[in-house]
Amino acid sequence: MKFRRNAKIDDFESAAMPHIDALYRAAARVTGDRSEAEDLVQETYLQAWKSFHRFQPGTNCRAWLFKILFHVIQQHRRKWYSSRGHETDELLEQTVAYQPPVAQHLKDEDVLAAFDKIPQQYRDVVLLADVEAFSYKEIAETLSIPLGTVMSRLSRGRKLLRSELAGFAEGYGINKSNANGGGK
Amino acid sequence: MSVLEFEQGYCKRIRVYLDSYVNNELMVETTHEVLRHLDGCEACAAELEAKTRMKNVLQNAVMRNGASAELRERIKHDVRRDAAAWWSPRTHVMQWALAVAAALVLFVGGWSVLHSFSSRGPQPRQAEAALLRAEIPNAEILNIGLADHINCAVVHDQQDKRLTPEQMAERLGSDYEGLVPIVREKAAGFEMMMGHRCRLENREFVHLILRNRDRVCSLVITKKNGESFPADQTADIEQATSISTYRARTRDYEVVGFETRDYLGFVVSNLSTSENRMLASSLAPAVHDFLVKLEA
Repeated sequence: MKFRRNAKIDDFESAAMPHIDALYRAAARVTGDRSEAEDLVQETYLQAWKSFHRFQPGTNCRAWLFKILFHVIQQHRRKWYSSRGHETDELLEQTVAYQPPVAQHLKDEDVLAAFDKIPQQYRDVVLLADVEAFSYKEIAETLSIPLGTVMSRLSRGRKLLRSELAGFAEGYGINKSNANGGGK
Repeated sequence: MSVLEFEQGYCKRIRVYLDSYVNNELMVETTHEVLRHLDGCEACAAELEAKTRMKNVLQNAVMRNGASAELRERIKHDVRRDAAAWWSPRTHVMQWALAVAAALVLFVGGWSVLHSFSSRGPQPRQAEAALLRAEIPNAEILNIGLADHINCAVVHDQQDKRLTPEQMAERLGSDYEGLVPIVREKAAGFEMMMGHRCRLENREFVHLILRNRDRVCSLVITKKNGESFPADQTADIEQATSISTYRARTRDYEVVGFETRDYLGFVVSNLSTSENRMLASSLAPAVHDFLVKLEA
């Protein structure tokens, strides 16, 4: 019996643990807090372990874990939203009309600070698409939203990030007219 | 229309595709169309470069962080502790007993529900259709096309069937077989899966289904039964194309409607608003012309 138990644990660890960095990165960006991100990832792995009997070997373990992670995040967000407000789409529309160029040289911390300013629903989709390279279909399944919503949120999220990055670039004295050339 | 205006309109169309191009989500034909345009348009090529650069910058910045060794150990500890609890003899017996009891309750409950359904309740298909029925408030006529799309393409899985153009022509009949080449030409990037006539609630529809991976779109046509799009329709009215179109959306579906003297036409899909509008702006005028000729 102990042998079967250890074999099952080994199966779980070899399938799931290689994705811990990706899950932690996503949780850290979503929460903006390392300690909170660690708690979310820990909870995700415990839920994954408890439902590991439903996971089919050979299928996409990373996508399965991300779906659990965002389910856990969603549960936590219900608590967060009761204390934090969030912007409406109408307000956002006004901020994304201009598409500024993207500067060549930006510090990582500024990129992350700009990214953290984007509203959560756009940040989730941009993160899954641009950082974790999930397909639109996988993102739709992970976040339980329609495919069309994935596409529109990705487009709008990128525009918002670009506007935020332009603010940092201007802070370095890279103005709108030369930012695109990046020092050519 | 001047050449400049045409180019600007085309750039606008291509830029809608750029986000999906960056993520390698476009169909092969659309990818080629984008690449051909980028070859000759510096502004759009610069826009693509900006989008790609931003994606790389973000990826590099986020990728630098990783989980701590302590977190890994905490998780392994959690798993071992949970496994030990599950496999301990006492818990094991208790959990099996609970599982058997739960299965028994489910079996008895499920049997009684099924029994009551088979004796007097609605058929499963009808129940499923009722659950999936989505309606757009204040857009009564658009719901006609939406209902057929959901019933036929989604509930009855016609979106998963694939007919040859000849089979579609045969099922559509001589009056409507001419729609097949028109739709194939105008719906670039989509595969035509199905063309047939179907019936819902005593109304007959001409129905063509298009797919691009998980994106499913229907062109639904039906003869008017006294209806017409009212001028004060609450849904949006657009005149961007040569004909007036009416649009609205539910949570999951986008609908564009148009009309001729005798027909109502609908482009229904799970696409985004802008994508469905783009598809409808290509399809609706050609289908409108086809129907007008049919009326003559």
